[in-house]
Amino acid sequence: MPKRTDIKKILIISSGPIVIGQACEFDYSGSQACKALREEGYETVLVNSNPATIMTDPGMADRTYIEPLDPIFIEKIIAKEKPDALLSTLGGQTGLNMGFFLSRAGILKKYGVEVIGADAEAIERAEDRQKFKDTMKSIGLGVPESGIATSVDEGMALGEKLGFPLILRPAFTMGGAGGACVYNVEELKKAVEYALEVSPLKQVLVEESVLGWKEVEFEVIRDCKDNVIIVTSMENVDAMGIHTGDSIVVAPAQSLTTEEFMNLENWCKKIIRATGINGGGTNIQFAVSPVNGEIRVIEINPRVSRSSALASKATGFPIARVAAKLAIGLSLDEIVNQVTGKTYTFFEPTVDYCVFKVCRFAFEKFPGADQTLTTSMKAVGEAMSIGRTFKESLQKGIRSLEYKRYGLGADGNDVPPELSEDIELIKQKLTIPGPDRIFWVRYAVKKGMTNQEIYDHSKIDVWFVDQMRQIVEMEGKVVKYKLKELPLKLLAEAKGMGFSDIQIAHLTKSSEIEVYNLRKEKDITAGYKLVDTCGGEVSPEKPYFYSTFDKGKNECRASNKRKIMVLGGGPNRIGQGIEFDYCCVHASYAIKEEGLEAIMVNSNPETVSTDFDTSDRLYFEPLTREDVLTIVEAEKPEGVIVQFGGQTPLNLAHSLQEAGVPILGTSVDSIDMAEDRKRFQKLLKKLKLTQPENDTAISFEEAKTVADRIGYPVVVRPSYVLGGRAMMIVYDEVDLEEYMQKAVVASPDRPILVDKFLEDAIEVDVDCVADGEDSMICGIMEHIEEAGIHSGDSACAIPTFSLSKTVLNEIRKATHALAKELKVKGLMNIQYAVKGSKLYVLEVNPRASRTVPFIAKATGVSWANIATKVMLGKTLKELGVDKEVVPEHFSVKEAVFPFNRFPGVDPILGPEMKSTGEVMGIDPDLGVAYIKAQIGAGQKLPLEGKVFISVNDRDKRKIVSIAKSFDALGYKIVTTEGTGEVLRKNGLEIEVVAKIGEGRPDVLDLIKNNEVHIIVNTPGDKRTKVDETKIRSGAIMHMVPIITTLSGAQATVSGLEATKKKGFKVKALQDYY
Amino acid sequence: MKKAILVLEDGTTFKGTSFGAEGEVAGEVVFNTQVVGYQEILTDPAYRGKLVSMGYPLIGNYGINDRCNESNKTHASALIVKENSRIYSNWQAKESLADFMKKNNVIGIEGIDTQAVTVYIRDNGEMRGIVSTTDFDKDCLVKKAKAYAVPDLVKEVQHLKIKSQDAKAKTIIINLGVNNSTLAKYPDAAVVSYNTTAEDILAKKPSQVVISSGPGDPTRLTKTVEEVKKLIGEIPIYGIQNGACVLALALGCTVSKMKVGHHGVNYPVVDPKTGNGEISMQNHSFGVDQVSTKVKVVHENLNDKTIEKFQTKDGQCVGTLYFPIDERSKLDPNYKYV
Repeated sequence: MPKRTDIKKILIISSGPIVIGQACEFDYSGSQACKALREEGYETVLVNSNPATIMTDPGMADRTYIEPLDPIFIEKIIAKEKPDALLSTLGGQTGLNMGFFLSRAGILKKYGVEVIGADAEAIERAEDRQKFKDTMKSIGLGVPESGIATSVDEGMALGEKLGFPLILRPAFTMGGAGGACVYNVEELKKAVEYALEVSPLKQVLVEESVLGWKEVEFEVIRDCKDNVIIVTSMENVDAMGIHTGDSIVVAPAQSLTTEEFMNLENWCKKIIRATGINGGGTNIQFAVSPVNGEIRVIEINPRVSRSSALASKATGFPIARVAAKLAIGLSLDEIVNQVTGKTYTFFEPTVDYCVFKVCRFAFEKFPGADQTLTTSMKAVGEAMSIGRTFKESLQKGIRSLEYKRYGLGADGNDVPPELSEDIELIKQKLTIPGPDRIFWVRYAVKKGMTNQEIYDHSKIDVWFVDQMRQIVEMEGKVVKYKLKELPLKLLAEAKGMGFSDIQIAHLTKSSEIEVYNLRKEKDITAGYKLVDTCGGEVSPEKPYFYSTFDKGKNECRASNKRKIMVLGGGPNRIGQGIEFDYCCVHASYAIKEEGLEAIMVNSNPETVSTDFDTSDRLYFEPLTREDVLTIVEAEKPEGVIVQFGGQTPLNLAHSLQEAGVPILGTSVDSIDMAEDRKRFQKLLKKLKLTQPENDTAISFEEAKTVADRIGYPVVVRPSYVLGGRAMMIVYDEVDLEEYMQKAVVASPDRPILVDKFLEDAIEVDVDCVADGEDSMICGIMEHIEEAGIHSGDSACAIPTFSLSKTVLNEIRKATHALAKELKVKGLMNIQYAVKGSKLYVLEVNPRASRTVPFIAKATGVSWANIATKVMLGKTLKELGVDKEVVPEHFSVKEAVFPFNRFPGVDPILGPEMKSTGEVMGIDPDLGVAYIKAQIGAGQKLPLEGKVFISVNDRDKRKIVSIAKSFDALGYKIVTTEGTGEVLRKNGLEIEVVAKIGEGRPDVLDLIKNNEVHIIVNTPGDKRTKVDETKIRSGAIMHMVPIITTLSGAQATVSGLEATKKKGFKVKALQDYY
Repeated sequence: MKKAILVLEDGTTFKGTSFGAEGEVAGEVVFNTQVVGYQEILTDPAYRGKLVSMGYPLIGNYGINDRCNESNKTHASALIVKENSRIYSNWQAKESLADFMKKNNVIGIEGIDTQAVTVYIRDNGEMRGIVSTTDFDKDCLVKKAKAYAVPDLVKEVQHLKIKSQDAKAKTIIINLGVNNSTLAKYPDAAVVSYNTTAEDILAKKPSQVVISSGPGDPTRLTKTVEEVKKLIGEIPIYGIQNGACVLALALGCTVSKMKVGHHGVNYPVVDPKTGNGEISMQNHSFGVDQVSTKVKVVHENLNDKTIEKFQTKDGQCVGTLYFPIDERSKLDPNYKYV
């Protein structure tokens, strides 16, 4: 059917900041959608609060709004832009819920906006638990026995009726948020309470458990002609009970018969028809009994999703692109399959390889968090791997995660024998799934457990267990040899099973490089095969590549053209995510603009960088020395860009350079100079720059001496860590002793760094680009929170708002000097602290930083693009970069945290990074921009109501003026006794509430009863920590905005004041520059 | 592990190891792009004599069960795979693929880069080949492969008991190699041999005739074609895949071997006028090139534009080159196979 001509302008609501359950996949799908719709001649209006996305580049949509994903703002955008249609199926659960809400609230009707993709009825049939059940029953499909509860009593009654264990699924949440598996009445009560709290509809499904059943997913698409296709099946290696986002997933499904397959596929077609989706896709999850093949449909997601992104990357079929085109009335038979270039999207992709999705967790960032995997998602990232066999793909997947695990164990990083040989511990680890369960399958095999025994404990299908057993058996064969004596046939077999050189080296007591060189000499090397959508049936025009040792035919398509390789960032984790993918994508664009070929290497299926048409050639590969070097040898690029993908590629720079790989941009030596403490100190001395006093220590006594000399508080951290791992601010000797004894193992070559902590200093982040001679400031950002909070977790503003001209000029001078001295070619990030009028250099990173996309959005300049061209040899002059851009409007970046996934974990900020994502608020007024950023980050700050204030003793003096400001704005103030006394003395009228444990109602009661609307609570010492944690995590759970720093409180109250005066306005990025 | 080898008639060689039965067999090499379905492929008479290469690398995972047979014996001569699973896991499984093949004397070769086989056949066309676990002399094997003459495969699949005694049968299936999926669609059918005369068929007073799918070269079935000619105009006739080719020949159309046949479950069949269609399962190496003035093309393959369904102007004779797998065929709501 021809595309619709009655609509011209389409609004796309995306998913906002990266959070657990919603990551880069929506940047990928949203970007695809924008491109697809523009290709068809539609005008696009995009709204997303996340500046780190490719989709919010001003060139992607016609009108781009970086505004909070909140009905107030969206309505303003609709009123201003008057779109004809709203496409809400491309922005994850957030976008879908927003579309649904706008429809329900009559806002769409008011402005005459039609919902395309999936209408409100279809969404309701999929998302509303009762309607979903009814729809499934109407087509005769089993759903787990269940009931809907809207109150705790109803939930308890249902639990009694259905029997334990039970699964709870709150309506309209994503990533299984608020979901749980409960085994008794006590757990049920707690879980129902929580689920009702987090469900926007205050509705929770209490469901019979099908724990241990196979979990199988399908991606299904239907067009307006009722043409239906199944894009792929996926099977969870971890059975029902673990959220699919936390499960190891394999595609296609491996253990179903043809009949079961066809049966499920036919159910999929029935479901999508019954739901009424007729111009889009849906994800469908089934539970299949391993005993008798019984089927239950668990849930469906009538939108693009993390799974659909995975399905797209696994098959080469771009679901989001196709879904966008179907939404405007095209049909599957009219859309060309761009990968083959000669067939259409109306077909079912098939594969001739095995795909794995493995999950990356970040529990180390949240001490005290429960590491058990359940129905509520906890993973922060994922990697995808492709191999010709399950074994090859699995081991590639594990090493893609960059946990320093290089396969299924046998890499020198296994737990010690006293653990791995403890049969009771093994059984426990198999039964209670944690993030490392797969390694315990190995220990179980080694300990002699049978496939069936391992299945009995873990419910991992025996077929999967046996595949892992085969890997362990191979390990047993290889370990018998020294490398020199290792039969080449066995080496080739082991490589065919995905063993990395590091594993082989560990097993044969040699080194990775020795193994690599031996293989090269004996021609036991990987070849490349294609992701082509069609299992080789058609010769594809634009496939992408994976390595395999099954190489009857090497399909490598390396050209003779000039080319540059970009190394991506791998799986998302805290500290390394979408920002770096943004940079890599821009690098690729810039390389192509310069007339060269761009080669991308990455393993993260969520990203734009792994979209099939971002680069000239894409290699879906782990980012390890071995895998990257093999690609370099096949492609022979002129240069490799390592400074855009975050720490992952940077860590490879040394070994790649040693192997003779040309690294583009800033030299590896300069990077080392910035990272090596001693060399860095020398550098600063030469440039007459200052850093906070510091020294190293390997024992408590040494540390004490240092701290005594430079004075408390001090920042302590291990050397060679990233994202502030195990970093702490220590205020006294007692804490220092505890840290030195407990926190880390120090040694002479890995000492503890002790730095003077600059209290109340202003932290400043600077990004600059340099061409080896000249440098240009991209942006100077002033942090809202004081120095000491990890820069990734801190809000910051551009332009700066409190720094004097003198200080700014000093910063510029220092930046240019550092760039020149380090001969920076490309990007560099510097963190400064300003105390009084004194400038300190905290850290220099001669690479792309997390803030590059934010600055690009704030200034309207694509810095990553410029930096790439500089690396390719252009000078800043040639590129016309001759003036620092200082915008007249304010852009504020705020961090977004995953604390709601880890109930009970204290949501305080410190030197260790904990945020998963970021949002941006943009406005002519700093205060309003700050409040926009807060709202975008999920802090629903009200313009009136009650503020609860309780601060530590250090902060008591300074809280007075903040409290006064709140009071002046008309907020009521509630405090605990200590803070209250200070405020009362200063003439404020306050209400005092009991401390926890000292009477009721206490502050927790107020939170639960929704009687406080903003909480200001700064962390005190250990004595008060327990109660404070309760307050702060209670606030998170009940979604009351919480501020844990004084500077944050000050910014909030100023922002609220500005907002009350000026109100919210929306403005497209295209109108800012 | 015992060595095994696959040699194509042009000398292209793939080395692997043996599973299933041992020995040597020549035949036509085809590739299949399905992820599952090895049991159906082995037992479908339409695969008779073929050396089937599975592009999907992991085969045998769910074993062999009682429900996936397309006939009561195996027909494919050899199965070419990347990896035969050493264990199987499915609640319905009765035995392993390897045991099943051994029992039924189907030769298996594993450790083959079947992606490479697919691409080679795709680029060079379906050709003869030989799998051996006994002879590893390439020249000798090429000779043997070239010496392979496709036997009368249809004759070889006439093993079904002919239920022609069933006087009440409304449907007569002319057996070119009928499979269980077809039989399941026509529970009231009587199956007759491919050389049954038109008179005998009409004498049973059926309401329709179905010409089943089957193996081999349909242009060789001249006798059947002649008999079908006599049926045209007398009774509605449906032809499936090779059966459709026979019907097409009887209607004066031209039929020839495709460079690469269709063997898989993901082929889009559409009404070229509307783009309306469905995904189908296919297994045929011969196709209808040109239709005569008597018939019109109703459906075609969206991708390679080959003819997928044709019918006479009065709608009495219909041929399809596919099996439908959609839960409901919207191309024809009263769908059996056509």
